[in-house]
Amino acid sequence: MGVLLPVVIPLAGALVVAFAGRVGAGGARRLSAVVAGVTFIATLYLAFSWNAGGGENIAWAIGGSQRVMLLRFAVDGLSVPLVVLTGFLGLIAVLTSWEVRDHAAAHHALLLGLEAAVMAVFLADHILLFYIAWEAVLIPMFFLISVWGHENRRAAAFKFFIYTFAGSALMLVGIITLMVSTPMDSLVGGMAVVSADKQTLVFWLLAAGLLVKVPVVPLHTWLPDAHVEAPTAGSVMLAGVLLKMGGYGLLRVALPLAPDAFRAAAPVLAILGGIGIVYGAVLALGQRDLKRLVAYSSVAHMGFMLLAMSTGTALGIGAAVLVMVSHGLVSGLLFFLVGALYDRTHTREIPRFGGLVAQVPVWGGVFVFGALASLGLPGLSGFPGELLAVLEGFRSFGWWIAPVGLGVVLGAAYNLYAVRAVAHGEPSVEWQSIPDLGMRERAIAASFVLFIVGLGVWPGVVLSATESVTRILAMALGGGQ
Amino acid sequence: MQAVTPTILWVPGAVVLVGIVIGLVAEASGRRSFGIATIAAGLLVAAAVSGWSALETTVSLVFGGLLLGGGGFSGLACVVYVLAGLSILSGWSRATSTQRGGTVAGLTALSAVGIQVLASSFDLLTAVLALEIVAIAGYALVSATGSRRSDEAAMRYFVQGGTATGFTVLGLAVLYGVYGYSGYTELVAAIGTGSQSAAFGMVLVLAAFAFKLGAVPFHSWAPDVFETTDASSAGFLASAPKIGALMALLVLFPGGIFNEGRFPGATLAIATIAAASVVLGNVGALRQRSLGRMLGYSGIAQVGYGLIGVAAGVGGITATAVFAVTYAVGAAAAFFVAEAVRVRRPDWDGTIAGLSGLAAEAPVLAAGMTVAVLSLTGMPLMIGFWGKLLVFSAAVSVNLTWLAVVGVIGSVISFGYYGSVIRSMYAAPQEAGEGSPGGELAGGRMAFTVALVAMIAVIIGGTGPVIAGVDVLFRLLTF
Repeated sequence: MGVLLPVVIPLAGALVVAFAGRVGAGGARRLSAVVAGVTFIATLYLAFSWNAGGGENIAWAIGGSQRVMLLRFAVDGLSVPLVVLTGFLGLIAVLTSWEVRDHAAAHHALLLGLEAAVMAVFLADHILLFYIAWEAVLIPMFFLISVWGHENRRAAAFKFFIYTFAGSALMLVGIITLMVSTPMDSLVGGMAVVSADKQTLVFWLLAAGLLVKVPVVPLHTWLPDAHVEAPTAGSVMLAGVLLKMGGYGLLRVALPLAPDAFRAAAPVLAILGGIGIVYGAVLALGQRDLKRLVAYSSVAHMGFMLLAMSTGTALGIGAAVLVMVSHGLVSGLLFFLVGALYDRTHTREIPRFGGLVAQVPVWGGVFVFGALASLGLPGLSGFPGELLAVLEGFRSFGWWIAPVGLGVVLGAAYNLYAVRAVAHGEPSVEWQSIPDLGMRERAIAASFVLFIVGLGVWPGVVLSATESVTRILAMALGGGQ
Repeated sequence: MQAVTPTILWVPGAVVLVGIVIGLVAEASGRRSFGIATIAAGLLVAAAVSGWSALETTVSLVFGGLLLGGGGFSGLACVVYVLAGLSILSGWSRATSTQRGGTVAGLTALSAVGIQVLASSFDLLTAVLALEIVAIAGYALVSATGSRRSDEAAMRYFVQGGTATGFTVLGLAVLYGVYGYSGYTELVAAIGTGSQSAAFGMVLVLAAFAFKLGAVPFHSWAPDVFETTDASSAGFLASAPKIGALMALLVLFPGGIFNEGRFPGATLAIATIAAASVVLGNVGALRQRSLGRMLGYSGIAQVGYGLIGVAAGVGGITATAVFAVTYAVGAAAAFFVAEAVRVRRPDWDGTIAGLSGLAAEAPVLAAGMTVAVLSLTGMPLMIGFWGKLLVFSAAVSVNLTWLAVVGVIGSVISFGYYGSVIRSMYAAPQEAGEGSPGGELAGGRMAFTVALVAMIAVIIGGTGPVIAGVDVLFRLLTF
């Protein structure tokens, strides 16, 4: 039953908030905060009971019929970290949209609905349920961007929808193909491998949908627009959780079902990852819009994720999950900070800022911390995952990995550029009197800092959780460890 | 367990016909509202009886082997009668206040009976007659709108329909002339392994049905018709006749006379029509400004999806039937919401851009339209997803993966125009101060209620199978 709660609580909460819209903005947000908080507790409870059960998969299913039983949820080591991350960021997303006045009830209902859909993606055991949840994520996100976003919100929402829908439509053909060709449909806990002649087709059809979501470089152009135009809560969820769906899908669906095709595609994935690392960093370096800079940094970080995954070793796959969780926290923090800054200044233009550490010391301090976490400072969450990605990449691909080193340097460059231009330097006269982070915002920032430091010091919490699954996946790929 | 006897399969059609007679007499004697209500009530009773008899899954032949009935055939009839009833109720405010109200209701009901006969006919002669009843009722419904443009559309529809009828009759003549039978069972035995004249007949029959469905290359009537017809009637015309025609095609092609065992070219012909309809319909719809016209073009594409299921052969029969129902519900919902919008904003010009500000003004209607177009796009959690999923699965399982890929690409394109409806509704109104409509027309609540009912049907149809298993989709559709 515990595995059901992270889906049901926000879903029920979304319906209640939507239909109790008359309670006003204050009531709606308090109610959603309670719902999101309870959801977060439910994810922690799920994680602890999973751990207490010795890492046994927890599953839940309902009647339906013998033929197709869709409503099956399960959790294992691969999904536990992402479920907890989603619970945390779901709560943060509600708290960051405290100031939303325009149709607040609808906004919060959509946020909770989004959280429920993402949870269902991470917890789905039936492949069709996975797809349904995957697509269901699009609907609330589309409305969050297109109604509560910034200036070009409608175009950005449209682009976001079309891009991801195009990918996932092809993924649907892949899913249908494998449903037709294998009788098993359980995602968690073993699934029959697709027959060799169909693996390549199935893999690339699935990858079409998954790689758009990651996103990899030629397919990433929806991301900066969607991020920049989305409201803060939307950006936090988009970067923090939605991008993880791509990596999770690769590990949960594409790899175990089509291991041979995955092995064959590994060099391509590694190259795509490498391009993402370098190109994302170059683009981030060239931005004048602070939010866009953070958005492009996501492309780079997801490049590390893809690189780690493509090594196909247990440690590499574990590192991929670690990068995902870490990026969820770091990008969530950065988007939250940029959003808070925008609320005060109504601009995101980097050249108009400067010396903010002096003017808003708490905001500035946390921003410097976030940038350092993003560039991968040892001791913070970004470091272990990306280090492992590069090390495992070197083991698998040898010196071909060298260009990634350039990406690491560039990563340091754009983060420090942002810090220098925004936090340090000549204080701009324009923002003499903006208020610093309030109590609610400080609490949000503090919780981010806590998790980022915690994961940086103790990355084993994720690596050991995923170990049982990553070992099986690596074995499916024919690797020893 | 023989809970349903073949006799009961006659009841729905008879109830509707009696309802029409009473309704028209009542209207003639000056009690129009009562007459229309009688016709609608007859349809809803017929729907209930059909739904009940669909629970008996055996398919039995009735009336001298001319008609199939029971099982999924009754299930489809149930949906058709519900749609016809909703269509009449949706147009309530207009029907009760104009001269033609009773006629429109009667024609809608008559057409529904024709569709049931068409869907379950097991004799070419019956099929052609039913096809004609549906077609003629359709011409009349279009022209009943009463504007010059609708008259023109009806005329064009009629002329093209007449040509299609010519094809049908010629095909029938060829088959009957060569083999001497019109019943499917006799024809199957007589045609044997196929012949050139039978193939010729097949092409003619296929052309006739393609016209009725509005599939490429016989599609050009569709956009005009759905643009100019009153939305309540268009909601019926766009949905129910397609159920009947797709079902008749299923009985004729994969299931019967023209199956691919005998006519290897049939699958390719249908697949080609399907792919062309999906591509042309979607691309055509992208450029439309009028909501009705856009839905007309998108209907061409949707028929293409249905034909994908027909092309998939015997394995696609249930999938196609489910698709036909899910599409019909989604399309009807879109038109019924449009009707409710028209009631609310009497000066709406019918364009997509003219929907701007609807979300702020009438959130429920905006939500209903959103749900309807998402369903037509094929998004999960909406009923339309299941139809497309099953049709694509059927195609993939007979190695027509390319057709499924064409289909999903078409779905992606379709969001370009379906999404623009959403975009427009959730945008701010173009002219400030336009926000206050001139008050609802009398009886406008009915249109609103129908729109709400349709929206709820789309959502329940979409989420139900997730919770209760996919079998609920097949409950009424066992062949």
